[in-house]
Amino acid sequence: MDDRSRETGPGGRLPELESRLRALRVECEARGETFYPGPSQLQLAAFPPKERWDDWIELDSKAWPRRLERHHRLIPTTCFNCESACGLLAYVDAETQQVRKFEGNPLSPGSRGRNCAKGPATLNQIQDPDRILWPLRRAGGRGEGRWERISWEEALDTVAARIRRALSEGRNNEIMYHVGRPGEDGFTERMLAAWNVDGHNSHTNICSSGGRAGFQFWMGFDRPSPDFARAEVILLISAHLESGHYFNPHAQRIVEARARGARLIVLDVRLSNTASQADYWLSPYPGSEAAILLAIAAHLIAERRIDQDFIRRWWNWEEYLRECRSDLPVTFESFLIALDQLYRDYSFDFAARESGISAERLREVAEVIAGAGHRLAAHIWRSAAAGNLGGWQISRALVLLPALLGAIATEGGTYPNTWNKFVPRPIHEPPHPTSWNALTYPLEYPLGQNEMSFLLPHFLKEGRGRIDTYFSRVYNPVWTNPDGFSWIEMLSDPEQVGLHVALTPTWSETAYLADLILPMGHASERHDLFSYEQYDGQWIGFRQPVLREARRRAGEPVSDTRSVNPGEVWEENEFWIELSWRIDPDGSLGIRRWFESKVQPGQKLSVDEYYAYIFEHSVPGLPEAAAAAGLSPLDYMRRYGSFEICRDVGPLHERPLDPEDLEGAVVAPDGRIYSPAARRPSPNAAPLPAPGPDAAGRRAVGVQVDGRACLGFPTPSGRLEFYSKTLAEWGWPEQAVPGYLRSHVHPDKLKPGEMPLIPTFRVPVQIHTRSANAKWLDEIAHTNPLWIHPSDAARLGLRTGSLVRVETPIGHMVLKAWVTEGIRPGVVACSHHMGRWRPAGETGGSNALMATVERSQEGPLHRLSRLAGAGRRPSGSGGAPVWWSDVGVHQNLIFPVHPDPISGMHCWHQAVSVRAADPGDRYGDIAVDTERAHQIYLEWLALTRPATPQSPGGLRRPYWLLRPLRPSRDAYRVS
Amino acid sequence: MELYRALAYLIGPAAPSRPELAAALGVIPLTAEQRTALFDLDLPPYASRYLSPSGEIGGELRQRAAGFFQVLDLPIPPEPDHLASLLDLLAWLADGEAVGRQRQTFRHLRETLVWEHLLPWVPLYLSTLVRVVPGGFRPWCAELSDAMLGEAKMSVFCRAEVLPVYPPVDWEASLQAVASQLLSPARSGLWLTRQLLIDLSRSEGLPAFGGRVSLLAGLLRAAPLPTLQALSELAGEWSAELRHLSWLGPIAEHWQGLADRGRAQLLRAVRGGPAGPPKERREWLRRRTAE
Repeated sequence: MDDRSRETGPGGRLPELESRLRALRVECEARGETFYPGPSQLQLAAFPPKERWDDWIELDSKAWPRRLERHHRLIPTTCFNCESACGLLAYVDAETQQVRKFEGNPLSPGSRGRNCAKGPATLNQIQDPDRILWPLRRAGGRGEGRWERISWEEALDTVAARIRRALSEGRNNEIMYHVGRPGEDGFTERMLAAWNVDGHNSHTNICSSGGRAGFQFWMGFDRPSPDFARAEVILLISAHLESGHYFNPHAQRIVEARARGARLIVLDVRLSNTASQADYWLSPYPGSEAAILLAIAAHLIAERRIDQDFIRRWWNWEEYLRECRSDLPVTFESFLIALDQLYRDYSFDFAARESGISAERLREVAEVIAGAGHRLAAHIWRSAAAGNLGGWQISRALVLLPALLGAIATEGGTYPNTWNKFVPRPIHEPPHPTSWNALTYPLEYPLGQNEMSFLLPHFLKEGRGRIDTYFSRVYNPVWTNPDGFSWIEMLSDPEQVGLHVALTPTWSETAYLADLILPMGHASERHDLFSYEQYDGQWIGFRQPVLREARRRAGEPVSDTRSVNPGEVWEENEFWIELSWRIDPDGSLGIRRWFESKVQPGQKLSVDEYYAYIFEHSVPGLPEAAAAAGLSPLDYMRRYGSFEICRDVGPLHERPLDPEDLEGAVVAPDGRIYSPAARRPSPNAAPLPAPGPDAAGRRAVGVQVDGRACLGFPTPSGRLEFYSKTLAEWGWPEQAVPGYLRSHVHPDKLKPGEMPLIPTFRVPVQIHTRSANAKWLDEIAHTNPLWIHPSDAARLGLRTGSLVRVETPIGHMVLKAWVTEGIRPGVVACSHHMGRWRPAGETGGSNALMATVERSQEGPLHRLSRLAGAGRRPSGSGGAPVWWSDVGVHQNLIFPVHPDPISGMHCWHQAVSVRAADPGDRYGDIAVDTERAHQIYLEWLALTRPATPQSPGGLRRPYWLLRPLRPSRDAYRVS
Repeated sequence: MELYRALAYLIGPAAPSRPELAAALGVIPLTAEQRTALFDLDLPPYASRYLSPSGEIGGELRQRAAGFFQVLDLPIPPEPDHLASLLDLLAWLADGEAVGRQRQTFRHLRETLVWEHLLPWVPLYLSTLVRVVPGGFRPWCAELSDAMLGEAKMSVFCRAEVLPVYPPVDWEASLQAVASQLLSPARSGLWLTRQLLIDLSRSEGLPAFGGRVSLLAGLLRAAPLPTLQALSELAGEWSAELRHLSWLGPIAEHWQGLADRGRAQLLRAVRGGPAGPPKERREWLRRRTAE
């Protein structure tokens, strides 16, 4: 005992005991068991141990002071509010078979049992007295607000007949599916592929395309997966602690890193919750972020505080020198000189002039970043990348920093997202659609990161096409997209949109304009399977109808989710299978076979078989883990809700190529390795970029680095593309390297009196329109005043609460001012979650959490004025009655579209005039001229450089770039 | 640091259900009855029980432990001064020290926790516990004792100045209060187990039931002189035993001082109350036994 060195030294008794205990814990947790069951506050075991989830007893708080025990089954599902997909546990009352509450699922590898307010508020959503419970059909004209209940049979037959006719007549491109929150990896993309329809239209170009494009041009993958938990320095151009992508799972890891002493740098114009926690909060002029990042890069380069070996091995510097610096020999030394020359003008003084932040402060931050070494975790998602013209270059400039430091795919560094994602290969994989839908990917935007969804009304107005059947699915473009009145015009016109089917759990500004409303379930009422990059590991999560699972465990198996959901609320997967069968009842269209059972050929595929197949065949380790627990893989997922496939994925780009791929492989002069071997099926079907083959048709499989054949990155060069030949070849040679583009709200571009408006930020407890029927959340945050600095407020004669008129080039809104030092002087900001409205006369639901408005139109001039606020919800429907009336103002209506000519991202920031409201102005007033909105669309369209005539290979778009639903190669050709 | 978590788990609020963990430590887990007897009735494993002047669980000492969690931005457990909570926290700090740039910070925090919240009472607690604990659980005491020794030897500083200094037992107080104060180590310097009081009661032919305060008050009432004599002898033995904890440095000296002070008080009481002549001493005892 006294000879401690013998006890604690290598081979000593205590280390041996320690390692034995660790091994026991690993072994136990590998079996899926809790090693320290019971309430231990530091081990997150304060959750009910999973061994007791079948009968968890809690005292009924409402019965107090009586000690009334309530028995529950705890059934996992997944939150369906934001994109984070945090694990939930539904507490299903054993007596009533109803969900009593939702709490976190401690087994979810991403969220680890922790939830934000939106998770537990799912209870509000499923108990929402205003929710849509039955299929409804429009009874009067569109938007008249009159509805009649119909059966699912009738709804399905109506939609199926219409789609069948369109497909039979070759009008495949007239079918469009417009999705807000996908929720599941690839199900509907495959459904559309089975229909041979290139009709996938996502919301992404109003969300994250700017952020994604910058990453994709660098590394092929379109998102980062920062290893926050192990970082030394965290650099955020977003508000990750409250609302970033993936907010809660990332936030908790950032918090852990900070507890360890990691430093947090936040660039945000606004004092967000995240900025308030930062060691360094930089509030730059909007759009100047890339100038700051490049100045930091220039400093790192000039001081040679970079990982030269990483750059030499992994950047495509040779390609850069050959293409752009033919005056220099192709040596790494000359590349360093070229790099120095390229960025030397980005001095701290320059960045200070652009950003308004002192050069000294920027230098200080640069030093912190320089000290991070390989442990720099950086992220940008929406924020500046979604706000500014050229926002994608902010994202590209951000990646430059970890790329210089060699902090790519390192412990504590920044990973490509797909390495931390696992999309299990499904039961059926229909081929790519054979047509190209120019309404989503028009020639003007060949590099558009995602579908140009927000331009749809303008495309139809221009006569580029029409839509026969339009599905809006958990999406509310009238409210969410910019220029909502143009959407109202489009959706009101049967000539432009033949049939509008709204798949939605709740009423919305878009659903009011639908022809059919089909009620779909919330988080605990539907099946989905997904995987998200939230740490250096791969995991899958399962969303399930919890009452269906409760019934099954009680010995009453359910085969149709409608039978356990309220009213006739359905889930989409069963709906799509049923609809597909009705479109192609005899299989003659070739659709039905993709929705047939493999166990019982010729029979309809059930969701149980669909997921059972995936879990049995496509998730490494799951069958074994399930067997160890005495369960089938499907039952394992039903019981625990998630499964971690692996962790510590590490630097896959360094992974040696498989010998099969090297057989007969050739190495191109640039080091790219091409293999004649066919692609081997992988259980992981996560979407990957597709770098093209060589002239002989051999697959690009890797890259040779220092004589080693490595997997590399899925870019044309196989390396990190500091220089993007794609950008150069597709008409943007001056943007081919990370650079600084002056935003459309740059001071040089503002008219006298204009200020930039930052309209993109979330509040932590809301999520677009999805959370609008959660009363608890609305109670916390239900208004969106205009953030304005005291100096600006004084200049304009405003005080907190003053009515203020904000004007854009297409219209104006009237809202309240909030005078705060939390915003940079000369800039105003407004959160976009608020301002939900319901037209007067609408009979669908009471929607007590929305304002009632009067909407009027004279030609292109639209007006919206508020008749009543929120507050008519009765008691007994989720707690106390609604006590507030303010619901904020719908700001997106007054924004014209600003499509970035390269990424296609809507550039959200607005140049606005701000002044005290006019005497006749009333709170919530909105006026917009849609003709003027269309002119601004044309002005931005004129900035593009269309695919033709310079498109390499006569393509509409580089084939290697990602697309959510990729058509066949032939469809890429401009015909 | 899995060892600390494992040790914490075996005395945590939930009955252990992980036999392989106990087996790895060579421990036979306590039965529910043994847990109740040991950790609820006899030697509750709370810092506040041994470091507070009242000898009661909770209060300022618990708040101090809670403050440690709070400054680290950790969730404060319901019983922050419970030995399991403190060991869990120590494990967390040890893990933090093992990785990352803030190694020195975690080291400092770990030493602070050890010297301010663990070493002031845990080694003495273990020395007392080992006398009454079932044999199968003794390896738990030994492992923790070794671990505490290791922590002390790894430290570059100690914080003995934070040890509590409270007034000695107030012999002018009521019998019940005197019993309570004698049962507070921070006042009396004595670490009296319930089992010991039961043995004393039985040797005096007294009924042996109830809690420690009522047992001791009963002994003082029914057999004051033999009880005081026995306690003074115990204080002497305890003081001698503390020499084996010399590795605790000033902490051991502090407790030794308290034990010596307590013994002196007890001897004075045996001799006649607080330093009084024989007549007064008898009156003092009569008065108290008449209460």
